[in-house]
Amino acid sequence: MPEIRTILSAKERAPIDRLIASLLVREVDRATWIRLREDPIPGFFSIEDPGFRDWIEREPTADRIEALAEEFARLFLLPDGVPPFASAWIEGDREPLAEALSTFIGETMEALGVEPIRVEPWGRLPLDHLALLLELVARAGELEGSEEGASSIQAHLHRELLGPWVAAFGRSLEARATSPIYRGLGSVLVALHGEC
Amino acid sequence: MSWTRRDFLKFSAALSTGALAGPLLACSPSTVSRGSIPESLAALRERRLDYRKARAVPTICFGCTTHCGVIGWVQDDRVRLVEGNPLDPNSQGTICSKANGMISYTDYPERILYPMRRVGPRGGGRWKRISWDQALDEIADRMRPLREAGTPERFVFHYGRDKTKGFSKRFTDAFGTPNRLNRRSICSSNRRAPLMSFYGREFEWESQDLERTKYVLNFGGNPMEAYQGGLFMRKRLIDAKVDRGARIVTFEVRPSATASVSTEYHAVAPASDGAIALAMARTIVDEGLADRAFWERWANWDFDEMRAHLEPFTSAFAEAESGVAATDIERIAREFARSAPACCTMSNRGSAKHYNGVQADRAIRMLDVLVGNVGRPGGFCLSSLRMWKNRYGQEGLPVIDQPAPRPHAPKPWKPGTREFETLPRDVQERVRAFPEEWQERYFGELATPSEYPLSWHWYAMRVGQLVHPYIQQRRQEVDVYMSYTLGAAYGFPEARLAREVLTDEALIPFHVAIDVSYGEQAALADIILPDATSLERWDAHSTNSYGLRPYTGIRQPLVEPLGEARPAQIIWRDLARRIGGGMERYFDFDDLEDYYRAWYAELPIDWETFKARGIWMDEDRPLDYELHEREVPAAEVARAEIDPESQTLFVQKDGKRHTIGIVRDGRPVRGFPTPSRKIEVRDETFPLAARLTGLPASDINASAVPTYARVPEHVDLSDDEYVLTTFKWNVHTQGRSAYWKHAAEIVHTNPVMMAPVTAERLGVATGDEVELTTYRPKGASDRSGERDPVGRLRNRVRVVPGMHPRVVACAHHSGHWEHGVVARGGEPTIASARVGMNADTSELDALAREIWWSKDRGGVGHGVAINDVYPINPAPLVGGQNWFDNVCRIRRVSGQKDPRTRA
Repeated sequence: MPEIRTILSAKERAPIDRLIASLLVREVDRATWIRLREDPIPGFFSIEDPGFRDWIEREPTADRIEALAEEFARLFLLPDGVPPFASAWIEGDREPLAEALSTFIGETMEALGVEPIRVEPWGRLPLDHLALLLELVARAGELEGSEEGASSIQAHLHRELLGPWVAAFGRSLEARATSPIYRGLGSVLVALHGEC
Repeated sequence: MSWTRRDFLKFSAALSTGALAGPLLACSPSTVSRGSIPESLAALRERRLDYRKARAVPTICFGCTTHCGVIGWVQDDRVRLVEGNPLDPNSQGTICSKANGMISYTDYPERILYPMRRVGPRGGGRWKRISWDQALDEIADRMRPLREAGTPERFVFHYGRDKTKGFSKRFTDAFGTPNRLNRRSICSSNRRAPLMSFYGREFEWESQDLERTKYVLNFGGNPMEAYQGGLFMRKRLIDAKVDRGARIVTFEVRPSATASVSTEYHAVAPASDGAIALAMARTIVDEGLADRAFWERWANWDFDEMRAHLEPFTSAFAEAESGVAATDIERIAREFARSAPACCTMSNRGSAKHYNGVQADRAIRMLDVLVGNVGRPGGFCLSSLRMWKNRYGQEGLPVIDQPAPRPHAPKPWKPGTREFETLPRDVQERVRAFPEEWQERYFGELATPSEYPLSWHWYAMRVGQLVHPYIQQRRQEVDVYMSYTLGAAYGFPEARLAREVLTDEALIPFHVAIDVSYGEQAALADIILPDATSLERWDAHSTNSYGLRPYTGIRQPLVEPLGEARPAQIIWRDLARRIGGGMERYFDFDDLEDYYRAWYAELPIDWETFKARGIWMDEDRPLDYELHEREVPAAEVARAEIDPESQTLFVQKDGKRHTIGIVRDGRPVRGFPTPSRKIEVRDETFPLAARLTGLPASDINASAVPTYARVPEHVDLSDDEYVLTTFKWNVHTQGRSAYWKHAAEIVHTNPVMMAPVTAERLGVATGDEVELTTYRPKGASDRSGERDPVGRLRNRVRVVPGMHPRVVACAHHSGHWEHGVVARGGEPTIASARVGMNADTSELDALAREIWWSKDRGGVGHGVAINDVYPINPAPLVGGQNWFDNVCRIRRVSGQKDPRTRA
């Protein structure tokens, strides 16, 4: 799957980034589960884990939905998980790093015309939450071709914001997740936004 | 399988048409024209705060109990820096490292941001996110029936650090439960009780006039490390010493930070402070250095009786008890008295957290009365406390109070009430024998344990460390237990017992934890509600002023709460609305700012100005000197009667006599807010409480006058026994700051400190591992005299010259197994392993890479949790935990070559 970064344009990758972002901020509910069965999504998530297709075809019972919700909390919401925050992964002293990240992302949002930082119903996501970063990358990608330099912006964001840590995050997610959906999410992140 | 571009495009197109991958953000991108994308993250890491873009917002620090006025610099919706607010008369614009710790915990990547509900067994560490509606509905559904059934006391609210200044009480009062518990006994009740006994309920804390003092006599007070008001004292103490040549004399068991800046430091035997203070009093009296006129005007104890009482407490006796030379004790007593009135005592846990600590502090307080420095320039002063409601010393100040309507407090459990009849027979008998005024304050065994009546005689200090044992003993049935910023499961003595109770669903069927971080307490909840941090919320602020001029301040949000965290006030408001039944009418506000604006409606400056300054003070108000000598206004005198014997002025209210002043030399003056309007050096409350609770009259705690006796378990210490004491690192605040990266970077461990001679005797050196075994107390305390050890711990040694040789010291806020990877020093949670979850530690937490002190990176680790091995040991009557009395044995486990065999 590594070729995905080279065979798709930034604009073409934007929906994929958004899918990943959505799975990082919300639990998989019954409707999402069913949507994830629709082709070609199972194929995409099956690239590294062929069992995904069988897994997603199972009935999304309340128990299974709850187990996924529990895994989501364990991975992304609680200590000892796989925190989806850049400041948790990029090497360096936490305070100045978080400060620099906030400035970078704040100025990027301003430049891209993105104002609200409150994401309903999840509240004010930390500025360095991976979902927000992916959203910014997606927006920059959508501007590709319509705005001069947008492509380079997208590449720049990737290099500065995602490249330094997303591969490590994705690999940790692959290793720590127990369900195919989150293992697959880790694989896709490595493929899409791994080392630059 | 390999995908082609065509496959990916198909995938991408499919996603574009569905809702699954819609934009996260509500608005649409317009154009790349409003600014430029920063060049690089690396460059920004050098740039830091941009003062041209940042806005400065004053607020009140929440790093510890001191609550300094600070200014937060906010840029891009993030607080970048916290500085001191120069308008704060207490902090004088200074801060300590804990202030910027607020940024650490606000932006902590492992902070709890959403309501969570447990999945699987309690304590199993498995959770799922739920909505606020789900969380609040479930809690309300649990609580509502208790209120409707007329058993609101089965809802227990237990808080740790609540600085909502009465807002949480609004909630518990509206609900109707008296079981509003705290952890004051863990902290300071042994030192508050003596002060309130002496000076009255209004003075739970004093305000030494350090800006003018010439001599500070410090018994175990530690403002350079941790002390309520510590930062307010630091600059003043250093200024006093450096600029004005004031002497600071410190008696301590270890060379604390305060000892290190003192003019003199004396390493004393633990719990011997009372002997020293009484010997000093004797010297002052014997050598005619006492201010007898002040004593006779204001003390309620006959001078000659006092002199006779002091007879046995010679300096030689004190030397034998403390190890401090008799000549030094006498010299210091003379120096202190000759500096009067510009001299003051200071004391805190070092003197008070002992079996004999209440009496020790009473002896220390007596020194001030003897030399007549009370309320005088440079002396031991009492400044107006808390919210201003025209209480003692608050005349002329605007009233600052929560907006109406306010719920009525629960009614006491007097004989004949339903609640009283549910009490065990022995408790009923004890309470029946209490004076009526005590019965008026009795609310059951959790809130007002009848064996510890002085924990609630002055005000509700409670005995927090007994809450969980009492629940285990079914002294109070509990249906809903709500903990708020509480760390009992980690930080209380014998914390394992708290964990046992919190895990037992038969004892606590439903546990809600409100907190910022996923700590050991929250880990044992059923529902966790994420609290806003101090940088995200409103609070009223009011405390005693070390500048001796009352002031107030406002904590205001600098940024919106992260995630779905909500200020506790909003949580309780919404919960009250769901519970209903009339509760909701006390929470009739939508916007918290409106609520606090109403709270401060009487301030003589407008709200926006107050917010912009963060602090308000009447600059023209006279300093709080000699409040007791202020004349009672004629209008009040006209309504009052005079008791011919005591000369007190009193009014009748509700059939009871309320004193409002005292006549001195023909002048009606305020006196002190005690029953006698004098300083109650002699207080019959102590022997009365002893008699009514079965404490022998011979016990030191039963004495009406300040006295001294050795701690029972220290009387016959054998050669291989030591006293394990504890302390707080100066960059931490109890157990709740270990996950603040800013603080953890500086201090993250807690070696066992001991004197070189002690190490020599044990055959250990710095870095060696020792095992400590602790034992139960022998006085009239919980499970006293049981012979089985309380617990054992292993820890590394640090040899510290200057320690008392019979003492070993270990800070008590390290060794967490929750609160995320920073608190755990990069180590995996032991709670997960304990309950059989996947304890595979091969995948190191990514955050741990920054934890350079992690053992996995060759560091010293994050210390050892020691609170399990401290016995629950409440002081008789008052109930303060005797943290510093613990007898232990120590053995060398491993380490370097035995130093005794070295060449």
